[in-house]
Amino acid sequence: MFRENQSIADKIREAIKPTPVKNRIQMAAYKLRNQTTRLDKSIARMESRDRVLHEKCVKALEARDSQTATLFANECVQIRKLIKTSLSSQISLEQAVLRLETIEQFGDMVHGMGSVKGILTTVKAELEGKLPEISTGLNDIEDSLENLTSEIGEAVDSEGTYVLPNDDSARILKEADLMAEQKMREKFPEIPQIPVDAHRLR
Amino acid sequence: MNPLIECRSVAVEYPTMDGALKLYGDGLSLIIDGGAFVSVVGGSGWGKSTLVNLILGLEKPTRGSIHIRGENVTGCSFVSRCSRIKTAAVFQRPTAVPHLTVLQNLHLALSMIGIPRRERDERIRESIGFFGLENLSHSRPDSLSAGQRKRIDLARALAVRPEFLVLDEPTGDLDTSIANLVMPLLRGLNRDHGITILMTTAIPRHASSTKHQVHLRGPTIVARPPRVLARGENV
Repeated sequence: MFRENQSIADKIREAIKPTPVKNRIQMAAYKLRNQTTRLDKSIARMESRDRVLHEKCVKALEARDSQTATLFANECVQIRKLIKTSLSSQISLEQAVLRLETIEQFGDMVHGMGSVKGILTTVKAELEGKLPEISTGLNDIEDSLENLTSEIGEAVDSEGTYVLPNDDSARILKEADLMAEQKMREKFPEIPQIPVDAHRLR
Repeated sequence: MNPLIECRSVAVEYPTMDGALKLYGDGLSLIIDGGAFVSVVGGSGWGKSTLVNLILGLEKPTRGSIHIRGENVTGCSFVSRCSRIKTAAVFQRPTAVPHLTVLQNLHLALSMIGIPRRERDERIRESIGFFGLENLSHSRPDSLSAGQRKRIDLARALAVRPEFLVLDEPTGDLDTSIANLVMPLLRGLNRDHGITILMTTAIPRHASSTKHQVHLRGPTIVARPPRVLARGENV
């Protein structure tokens, strides 16, 4: 099992005898899986919060309290936006894990790393300020993969970087967004329509 | 005897902005026996790469199932499928690290799958010899032609000693003359090494030189009405 944080002794050991590429890719995949699990948990929490808010909205409407119902409906909209972002990030990160696995299996270093890099950069920016602990975790993974690719280059006196985000990452992110949208449609009940006239009567 | 790989009525649906994109109509069924050389032919966006991804476990079908040696692996991950059948892949995109020499690239690929140093040397020698890359072994891929780079990718795949080789549009970015040189190499891999090959291509002429061909039909698009979840909000 891999450890999330390196001790000083680990860092010294790493400097003297670097971990093989294979293990470092496996470690990054393991850490990415951890982040998707964390996302899963936070999505579950937000879903249960949405259920509560939705129920309250319906009850307020039944009691003809449209102002309170509007408040709850707006909260539902906000929380669903965050759930959609989290779902789309989760799907994208699962694809990033798959890309790391294909690098390991097929040696698809240049293209695979380019896809992972593109996904991590976008998802990290999306979650920054919304789910900061996950965004920070992704930053660490991005750094370790960046080190790995540059070390492979440095070993043969490379000039500049050869791993750049590619079309594959843009396609994965777009597909993840559409899949998240579809999941949202299937999973969540419609937010009740609040009658506009009710505001005027009050 | 069970076929090496079998797809039973697989179909895929992708959500799009205004509905869903359906691939393989009512379902695609395909049997790949051990030692076969199968090509999948179709236009751009018809699902050639998706079929490869479905077989490898990089995507899941919306309907149908995938079997390896008779075992249903539809729910199995990419890693678990690769443990059931030793697989290598060559893609249209460049895979070699441009700053490493041909030899270093092959060593890197084999070290990733845990092949010990001594065995690596032997496998690389054999593989480089098969593709006539001896003189280029100390060259860097970015100094080579497209055809030579493709041979490196194929050498890397052969060095893995796979049972099953997936080639996703291997001749897509090559000139006709170079592509014509690559096809006999692929047939050689299949014939001389007994490797089962699945190749996708948009060029029917390249497919015609393989033993079996699957011709895909274009996708269909199913429209879906928008759903409004709250006033002025489309979620």
